[in-house]
Amino acid sequence: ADLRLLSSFNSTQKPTYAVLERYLANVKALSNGGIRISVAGPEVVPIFEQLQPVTSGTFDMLYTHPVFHAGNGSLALTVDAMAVDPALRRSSGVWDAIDAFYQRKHKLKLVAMMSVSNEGYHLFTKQPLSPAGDLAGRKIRGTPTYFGVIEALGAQPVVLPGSEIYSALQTGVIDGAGWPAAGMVSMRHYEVAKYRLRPTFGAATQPVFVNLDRWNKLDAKTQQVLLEAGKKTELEMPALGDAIQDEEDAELNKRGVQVIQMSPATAAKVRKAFVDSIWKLGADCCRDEAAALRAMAIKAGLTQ
Amino acid sequence: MSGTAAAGMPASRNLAALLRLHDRLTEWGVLAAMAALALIVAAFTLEVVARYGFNTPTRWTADLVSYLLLFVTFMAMPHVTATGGHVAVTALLETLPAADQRRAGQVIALVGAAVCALLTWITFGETLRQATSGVRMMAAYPVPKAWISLWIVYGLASSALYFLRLALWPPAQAD
Amino acid sequence: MDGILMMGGAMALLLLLFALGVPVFLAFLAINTAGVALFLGPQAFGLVANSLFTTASTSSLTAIGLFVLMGEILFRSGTSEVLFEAVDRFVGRLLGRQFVLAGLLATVFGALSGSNMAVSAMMAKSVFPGMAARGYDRKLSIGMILGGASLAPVIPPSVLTIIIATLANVSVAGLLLAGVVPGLLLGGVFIAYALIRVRWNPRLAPGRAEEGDTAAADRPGLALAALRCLPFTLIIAAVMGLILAGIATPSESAATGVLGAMATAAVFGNLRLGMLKDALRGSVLITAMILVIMASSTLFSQLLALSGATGQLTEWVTHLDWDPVWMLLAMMALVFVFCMFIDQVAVMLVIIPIYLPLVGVLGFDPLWFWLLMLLNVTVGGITPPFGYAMFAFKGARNDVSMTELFAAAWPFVGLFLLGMLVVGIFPSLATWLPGLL
Ligand code: NA
Ligand code: NA
Repeated sequence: ADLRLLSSFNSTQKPTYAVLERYLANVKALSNGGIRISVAGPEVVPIFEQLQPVTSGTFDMLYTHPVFHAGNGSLALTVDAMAVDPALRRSSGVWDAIDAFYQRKHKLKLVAMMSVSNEGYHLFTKQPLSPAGDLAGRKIRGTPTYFGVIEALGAQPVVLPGSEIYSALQTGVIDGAGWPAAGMVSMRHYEVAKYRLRPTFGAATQPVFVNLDRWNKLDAKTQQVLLEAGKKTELEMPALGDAIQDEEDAELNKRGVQVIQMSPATAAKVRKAFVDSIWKLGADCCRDEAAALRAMAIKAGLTQ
Repeated sequence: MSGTAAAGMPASRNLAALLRLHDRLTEWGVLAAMAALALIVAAFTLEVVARYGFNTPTRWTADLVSYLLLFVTFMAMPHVTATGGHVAVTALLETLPAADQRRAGQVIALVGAAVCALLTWITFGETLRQATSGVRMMAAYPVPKAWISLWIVYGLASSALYFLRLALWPPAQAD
Repeated sequence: MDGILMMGGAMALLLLLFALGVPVFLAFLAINTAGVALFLGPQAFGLVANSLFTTASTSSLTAIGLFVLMGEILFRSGTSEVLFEAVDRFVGRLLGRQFVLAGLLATVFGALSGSNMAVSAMMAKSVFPGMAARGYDRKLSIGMILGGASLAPVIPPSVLTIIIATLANVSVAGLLLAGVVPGLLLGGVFIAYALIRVRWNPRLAPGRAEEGDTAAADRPGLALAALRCLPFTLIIAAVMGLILAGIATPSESAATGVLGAMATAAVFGNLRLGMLKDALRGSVLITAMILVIMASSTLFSQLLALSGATGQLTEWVTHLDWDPVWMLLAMMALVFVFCMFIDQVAVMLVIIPIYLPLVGVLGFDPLWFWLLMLLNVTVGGITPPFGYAMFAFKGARNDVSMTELFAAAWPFVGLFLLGMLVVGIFPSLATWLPGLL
């Protein structure tokens, strides 16, 4: 089969793109090259507009981060608040619940829900933490995903387009920013911010969807390969991603970006704030489904 | 300042009265766009003062100004269409005799009416889809996307009508 | 091959519609919608709607509306006239002195803004009418403004530079700094060019006597002229100072610049409600004109990317396997031709990942190479037939025809290419300043 995949990331965003590359490699291997997937990136459809063209069947597949369709019914976003445990995400029923939601709401079949690594998100700053161990009085760029974390650290969230982060850090409009842990190198933010806060929080979840009509027309063999490749990549990815993150961290160390450890108490507060923010976004998006999913995840020990 | 004077007007008085309503709506649109541009200045200034002066950045400025920019664009667009103000390369047209120029202008206006009408239908369909499936902006204050898309529909629909008017009743003197 | 044929067809059709006098935005909308219908099917029409939405609601583009408003206020309040008079006073004996002013102002505002469209429309509103009224050659005046405006993305701050540096994996700070010397150099070249042209053909500028006489009688003294320029520096402070001090982002500073322009108008006693209303009215109409074109054209380059044509051609060039010098010329030529027709950022998204591995193989200094690329895509704003900076000028001055703009732009495209050649031969012009980091 020939399939056209729309990706929210291009090859210059290495850690995140590596997840897609791994998935495509697994599909190729499992199908002995019988399934060919061509990739179109954000140069073809801007990232925030990518869900609809896959729902409408203009493209067959989508590789994205759920936050990019947050306004559109984005239940998969809540997986960012769950432990990186691919097997448990499936056995707990979380995976199937999200699959069912996207089939019903967006006419999309979930085939993979991979984590970039065990490290999700972090804040990086121009100055170390205050003597009190927080960021009181600082201005930190963030999206709604990060608001809770930024406030938990006593700082003020600033809303800025991603393209303006670099110069805002450089001139001092902001004192730091929230961003996926894998990205400080490719975005070159390390040039203008020399501290990164640890531990990281959350889990960056990257799903692959297939247009449902297209899915139903695929033969059973192809369907099975796409699903099997998803399962395989989910299991492989955290470790592979951690290795990439290690490279990224080594690069940051070399560039003089220091690690600032939060105290265990602060780290716990940050993690809770993040989880709360994510579930709040989940409730805003899809109240009943999110509540059911959260109950399921709590029962399985995947989230708070 | 009656900026829409160049727009086509029929001889029929009833129809003309209706079309003058269209012109008045367009003028209100321009006034609303002016207010929106002033609001962009105010919002950005407020954000700078709040963030730098009082260390309390707002969470709505960045999104609001981007919506306002779209609003400015499509609220002012019909007036630009009505006055023949859209950027075009007219070198070839200008070599034609006046009567032919006029006819060519009518054909282009007819094309404009068709394209804008098609785009009105497309953007209306998309706006309807956003409204019915409850699509919201991905922002600190997630407003419904249809509230913003709607202005695109307005700008294109009104422009389609102006192009049609320019095709049916071309302005007396093409300058 | 199909993709490349389709690309050729789409560009030919676009040129045809332009030539027939179809408004630019309509030509794009028609081709994009037809392209979507033919190659993706009507269910993909959402792409057309969403591309209009996304472009028209891009927050960094608010700078266009705000800079135009600044220009409107400066012009309508007579503040720009004060500057002309001051220049007459200071260098009254220099033939073609207002060309120098236009070049300097365009460079300064280019440095303040990252948007060539914003500066082009602003200067077209504020400075061009005064020059035309004084008898300065229209084409040369337009060219100076277009050339100077094109320096906006070259001299920091510049979002385009940050995008290129991030995609190309070079230091952002480095690439921003790399643009400073070539940017200023080009500004200097433009001014020198104008002065040489005037020397060869004095009719391009009003004579000393004609212009000097009126001014001599009631001209203010030198000190007073300097004093009257002072409020003008308010605007520059309101924009540049706030950016450098970390108080405002470049987009926000465009708004504070509007307040600066209002303050300047107030100092000269010209801040009136009626004037502000006229300025707002003019600004929204120009903004609509520019943004409608931008919003309509974005999808064109996205569809070309989708067709694979942009990528295929780029791959083809990277496999030519020539000497580095010829490779450099071929790689740059391709970008130059692309940017004659399509949007710069879209071009960059496709081309940079393909060029990236080759830069190392060919042994090019990355900062130098990507700065050349920045200059190359920047000049795309003034290469006919598709150039946002020219459309913005036209939007602001309806009495200037596109033909006149095209003719005015070509010499400055030539100067830009000359500047690129110089930077190409002397890489230290680009790499010296970042080397101090
Ligand atoms: Na600049
Ligand atoms: Na061009």
